[in-house]
Amino acid sequence: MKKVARMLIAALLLFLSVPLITVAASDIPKPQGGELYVQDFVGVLSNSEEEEIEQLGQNLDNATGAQIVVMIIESLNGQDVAQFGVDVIRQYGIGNKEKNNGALLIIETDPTKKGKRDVHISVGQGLEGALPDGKLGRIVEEYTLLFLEQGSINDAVLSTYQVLYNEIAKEYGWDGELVEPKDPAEDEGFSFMTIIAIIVIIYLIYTITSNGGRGGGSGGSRRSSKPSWYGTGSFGGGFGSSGGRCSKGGFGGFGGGSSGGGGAGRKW
Amino acid sequence: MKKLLGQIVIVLVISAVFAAILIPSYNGFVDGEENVNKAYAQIENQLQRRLDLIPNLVNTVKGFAEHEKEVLGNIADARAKLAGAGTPEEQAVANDELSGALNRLLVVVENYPELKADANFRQLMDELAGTENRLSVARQDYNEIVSDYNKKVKRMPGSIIASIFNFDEKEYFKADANAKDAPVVDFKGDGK
Repeated sequence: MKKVARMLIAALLLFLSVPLITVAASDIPKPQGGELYVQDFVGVLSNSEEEEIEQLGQNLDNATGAQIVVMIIESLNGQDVAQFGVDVIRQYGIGNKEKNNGALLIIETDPTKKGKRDVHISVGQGLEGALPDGKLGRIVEEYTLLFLEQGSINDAVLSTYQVLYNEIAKEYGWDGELVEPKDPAEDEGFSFMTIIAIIVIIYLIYTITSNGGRGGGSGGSRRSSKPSWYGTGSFGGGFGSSGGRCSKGGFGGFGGGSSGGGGAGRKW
Repeated sequence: MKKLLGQIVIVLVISAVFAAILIPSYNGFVDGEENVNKAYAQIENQLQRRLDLIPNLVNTVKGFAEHEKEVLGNIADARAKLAGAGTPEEQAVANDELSGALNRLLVVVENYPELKADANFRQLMDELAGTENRLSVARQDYNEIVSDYNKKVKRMPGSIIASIFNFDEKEYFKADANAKDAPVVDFKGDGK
């Protein structure tokens, strides 16, 4: 009887000591509803900025299947940013499932950790050709970091997003409306002039292509309005509960992409 | 005559049942082994990439910090060891050694602002860091797949079929705990 009990205890101990290979599950915030390409958990971006990014992201997504997501987060709580990036891309499923062409810009904002905060761009394997680590490091330095050091997280996000957008559009041979990224080296006057010039050119092209009489104004405003799924209904409430694009894997609109760990980043 | 026919039928039925049990299990092991190999190929890709990047890095550093011979020599040695490593465990150990040597280089680099500012050097460091991250992802994925596979090999009833057809446990890509410790950085030894 004693023997049996001893054996039972031994078995129990053996069972408990089986090395459990636990995957270090990162502490990843759930994607916010409302937006897809902007995951601003700190709330630094204005509505119009978010809309601009959503619009760019949606255009690129529709044309190429590639998805760029911006995540602004207060603190990573000491997690390794590269690992965090991989986990977010995999968990959200950023990028197309077959092409794995997601990109993720992560900016940590904790004001008490100056000089130790991460800014990092992670990409899926499908974008490693267009955006190799060396190039991403340069983009982070030349756009993201410069704007961050000038004190504008907003411009850092916008310009980086635009640069990534252009690079990915080029990679897919999609000539869709490349955007001029904000250049931190430009002085204010010049960039203002560029904006005016772009507006004038767009206006000219628009008036030429839309033959006269029709109301140009309403067409223009419709183009800039959000796509219908984006609005109030389909994203509200919990993920996966509502219809439309939310039905896919629980996270509305993400394509199920993965990442192999590509990317580059800096501290700021 | 009828009896013999009946016996044949019984034998056929039994072997059919055996086949129905054996074949899917066997195929499962074949697939599992293939997955392990595929995951390992990912690790080897990244190790190779690392091996390819290092000569470039060493050459770039030499241009700015020629007399850091000790640090550069250690990197070259560690690289050679990794290139010669065979089994996953040997590779994991050699790889960690190389990481240690590279970390020492990073400490030394702090003394060379021009090197730190060099675009080529920065790009190489980004590529190397990215390779490291990919490696750690590939390693994680591989170890997970191996763990699943090994469970199948060891657990009943799969273990019987595994032992008949010689499906062995796979090795994890893991270094010894003590090999992992980064080498101590000696600030005073200014690389003779």
